[in-house]
Amino acid sequence: MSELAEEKGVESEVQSPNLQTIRNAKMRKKLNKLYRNSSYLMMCLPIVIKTVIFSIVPMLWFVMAFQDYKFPPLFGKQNTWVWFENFEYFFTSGEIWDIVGNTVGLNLMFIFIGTPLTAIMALFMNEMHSRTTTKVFQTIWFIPYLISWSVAQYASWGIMESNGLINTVLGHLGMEPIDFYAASSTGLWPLILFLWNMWKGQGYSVILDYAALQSLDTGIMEAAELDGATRLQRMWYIEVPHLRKIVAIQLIMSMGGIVKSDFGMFWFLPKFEGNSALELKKSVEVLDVRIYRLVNDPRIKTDYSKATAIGLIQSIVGMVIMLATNWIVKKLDEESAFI
Amino acid sequence: MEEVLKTRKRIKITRFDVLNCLWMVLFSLYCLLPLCIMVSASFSSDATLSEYGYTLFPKKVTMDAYKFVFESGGLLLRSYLNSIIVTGAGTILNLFFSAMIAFPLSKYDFAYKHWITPLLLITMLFSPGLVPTYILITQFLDWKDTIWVLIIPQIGTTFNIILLRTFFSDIPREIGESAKIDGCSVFREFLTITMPLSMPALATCSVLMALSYWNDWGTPFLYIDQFNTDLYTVQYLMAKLEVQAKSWYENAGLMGENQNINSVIMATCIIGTLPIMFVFLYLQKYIVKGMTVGAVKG
Amino acid sequence: MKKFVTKLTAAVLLMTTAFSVASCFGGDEGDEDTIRYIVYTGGGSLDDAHRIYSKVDSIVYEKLGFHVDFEPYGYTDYANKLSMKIATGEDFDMCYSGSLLSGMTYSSAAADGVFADITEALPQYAPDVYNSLDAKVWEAAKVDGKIYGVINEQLFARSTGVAIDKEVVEGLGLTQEQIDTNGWTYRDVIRKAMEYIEADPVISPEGKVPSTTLILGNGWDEFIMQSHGLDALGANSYYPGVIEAVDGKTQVINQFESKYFKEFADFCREMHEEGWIAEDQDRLPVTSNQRVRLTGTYYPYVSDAALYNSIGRDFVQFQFGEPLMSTANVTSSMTAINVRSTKVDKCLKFINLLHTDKELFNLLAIGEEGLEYQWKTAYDENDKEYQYVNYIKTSKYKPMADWAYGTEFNAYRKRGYSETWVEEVKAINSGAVYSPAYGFAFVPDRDLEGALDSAYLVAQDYIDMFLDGSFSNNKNNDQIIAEMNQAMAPYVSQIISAKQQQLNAFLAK
Repeated sequence: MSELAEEKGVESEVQSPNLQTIRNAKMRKKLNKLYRNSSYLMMCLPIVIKTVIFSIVPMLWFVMAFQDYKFPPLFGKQNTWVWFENFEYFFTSGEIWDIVGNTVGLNLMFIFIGTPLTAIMALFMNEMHSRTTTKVFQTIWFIPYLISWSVAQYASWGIMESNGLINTVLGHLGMEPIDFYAASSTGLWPLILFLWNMWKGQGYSVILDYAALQSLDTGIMEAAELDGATRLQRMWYIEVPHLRKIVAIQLIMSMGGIVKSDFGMFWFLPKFEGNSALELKKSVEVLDVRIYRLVNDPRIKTDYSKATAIGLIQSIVGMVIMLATNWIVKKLDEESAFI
Repeated sequence: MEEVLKTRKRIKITRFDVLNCLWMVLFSLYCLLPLCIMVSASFSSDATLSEYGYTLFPKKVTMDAYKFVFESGGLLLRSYLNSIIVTGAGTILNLFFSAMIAFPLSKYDFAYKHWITPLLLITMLFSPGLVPTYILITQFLDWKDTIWVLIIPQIGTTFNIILLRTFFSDIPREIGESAKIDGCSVFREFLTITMPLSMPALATCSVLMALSYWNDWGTPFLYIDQFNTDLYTVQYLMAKLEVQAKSWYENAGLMGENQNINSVIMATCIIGTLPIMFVFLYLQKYIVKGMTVGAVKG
Repeated sequence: MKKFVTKLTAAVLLMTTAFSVASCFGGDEGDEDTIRYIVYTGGGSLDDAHRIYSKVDSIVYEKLGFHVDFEPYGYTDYANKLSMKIATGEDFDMCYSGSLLSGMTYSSAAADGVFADITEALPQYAPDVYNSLDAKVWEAAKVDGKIYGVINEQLFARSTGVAIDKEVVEGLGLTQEQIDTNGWTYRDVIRKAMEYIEADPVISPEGKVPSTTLILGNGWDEFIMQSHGLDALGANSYYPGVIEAVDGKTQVINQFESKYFKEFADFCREMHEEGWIAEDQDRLPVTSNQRVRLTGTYYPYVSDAALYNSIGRDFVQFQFGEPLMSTANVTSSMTAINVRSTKVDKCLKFINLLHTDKELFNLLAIGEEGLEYQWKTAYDENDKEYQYVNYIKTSKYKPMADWAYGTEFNAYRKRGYSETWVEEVKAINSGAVYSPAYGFAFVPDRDLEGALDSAYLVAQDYIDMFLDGSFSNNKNNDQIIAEMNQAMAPYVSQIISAKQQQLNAFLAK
């Protein structure tokens, strides 16, 4: 019996004249439904309890965003209500707009250069004949995905420090060394972050796109080959359309995360805890880093309220964008919709 | 068809193939470069590093850093053990409970599905701040400096549940129904039919979960005391390696000169990363499989 | 089979539920007989800390009848951990606090109501500590007329110190009197010492060896502020707004536009351009070549011992500027009690014991004889034999923060200390000039925080630039300083006027 029929049944009974009977019948229906689903409910219980304890109840603390929070209890006298002051700070301080600009700008760059590039790389990878060779490449490309930023930061020193690889090479070529952490290199950092971001995730994304291409029916390809289509023609007329939908969905999906960033990369690479130049830090500071700094950086005053306020804005914007993209995805392809 | 395949195999190597191979090789080198630097630096001494700078291959090969790490790094071994325990136990618990909730959610006849899914999705969007989580864990649960804090909070990540739900709903409905007619309980259906049928899905999920447990460096930072070396994990050790390397030297009574801080850091990173990397590389096909489904469907 | 599976399910579910529910209510109630002490440690090794702490605990239990549970944090994360504990209401009874915790200074935390008011309890439960300091000194610890923390007595009256290798000093025939009568500044003296080292083939066979000869200790805030007697009004000296306290002035000025900052910048530039400091000075290990060190605070003895320990040579310290008693100097190291603690009396008794029991203090601050230190014999200037503590280099307990645990005058005599070092240092304190803003600490309003953070970061960026020599050689110092003040301009006026306003209100009382 489907759910729909059951609901209709309830509705028809509502029209019955005796109120008591209706209530009883409704209650019985409800209990009946509960009983029928009891095993399912029991299976959901552990995670539901865990979620409620770890994620839902703590949401009460979002009220911190409207307070000048000092210490518990949450509704105690010491936490004065400042209402929207923390949000005003967000909207009126020019600094924050710079941070939002960094977050969105860098993410857009990663998405709009990265995603098509991934697709192109996957297309060309698909042209490899030898499966063993592809396998070897895949394995190598997968390595960076497995290295966490806490480890990769040390490698970044080895490359970008004053005695790092790049400067050693420049020295051999008789060129001026570059101090990557000085204010003068601020302009280089979007590129540096892009390259590191690519190092970390590009190989992995290519492998995923490649796997999607593998699902393409080989028959069409063979037929095209027999018809005398060149390689590039085959790629352009058969594989690209196949990949286009996947890429579009990927693009839209990644838009949902446009206000979030890979914290490890943005924290460790520009050496936020170290002595890199202020101008540089300012040019790469993203929202996640600011939230972390408001709570953890001894150089600026700890402010949990502001951190919560920024986090809340981040979540709301993320949610709105995600719902919007979900709506677009639904238009494009019913199957891929999220909710 | 077979003939076609044969002709394809006989295709001679064109310029296109060479170029195609070339960029792949270049990109592979790009991926390996940071790792190379680390390996090379770990086999050098700090004196060499400051004289010649970092190079792709060590200028003067020395095993000093490794010797030092193995002599003073009982901590590294301990951290390894902890990481393995946390990853192992965490993955098993996480997988079991996530699958257990994903199973009803994949069922068409589960009436409360539309209550539970939004609950999970909300948690994905709104993560409560640091303060309430810290209060919960340190004061109500009293899990500070225990292994639970490394395992439990990660259980039941929405993403994994959705992934599993997608896999489970691909299992033909009839199988479940016929089992029900045979008088099989829901939980038994889950254990004896759904779970064995979705082994590949479970493998994917468990690898993803294991990876996220292994690479978690934020949780121990907050909840594991710096002196509680019994509960160090590899990632925690890596994140505070600079301080740690200095203190190893201090404990050995070697102040000032003759320190190889940089190479010791690199050596520890290599020892801490490489072995587990091979394990995950071996399992990568599961990740790829799962993520293809996950990326498109959820 | 079906029944079995149902039972199994039920069991698993029940256990999970029970576990989560039980752990919700099963929080640690906290032992009535134990006080929890969040303790500050320096940067040294603490692998053996638990051995020391359990020893201290057993002594305290024997003498006072309760236990002490220590929770140590090093300088890298102390401020973060403490502010997290306060924000989440974690149970602890007492903690180290002070004006040097830039994230949360004693005064701002006390104003936030984080610490317990001990104005009355202090003389009652810790009379020895209370009576050891003048009533006037305690004024610095007062926030709105109430005391919220116990001052750890140390050298309060700070001036700038420069430590120079004994051989060099003897070669130059340099004395403190000579410096004072000629009115030499630290820059003159350092230059003399450098020139001497450069010319002497015995001391410096390789001639000028950058980085190994001069180290710019803690930089701007300690050696410039102190040598000119500036008072940053209880706040960090990277925030704009100081008064010229030694001269008794109460006008708040912007130190970054003053001649003092220009002098600092010029000094750094000269030293860098002449090649005395390597660019990566802070990354280089301390070596035995080091001959001159700007130690920050002038301390007649401690630095000698510390330098001897790390470098293995004897140094002589010279003093520059007038010693100043300011709020920040006096409250730089405090022990405060959590406002939520129910054991104020026990905490104060414990603090009093640390203050009166020299052995206990040294156990906590240094460690155990034979494991952390040894007694050694040396001869003082009058060839009189004396015993001093010598740290064992391989020990695994090196907090190196005597001043964080109580009065450092309880510490054992170290190498180079005179017999009467305690009296001498105390005399500096009692003979010092009091800042006109003594007892006042600037507590910023909430809407000023953003401006302060921004100004701080700008100041830090430029000060670091001068210290590590990464300033641009195309611009002269005036241009760089003008650039810095321009970057800071949006924040300066509101910060300075807020400081002036609060100070005037304080002075009016």
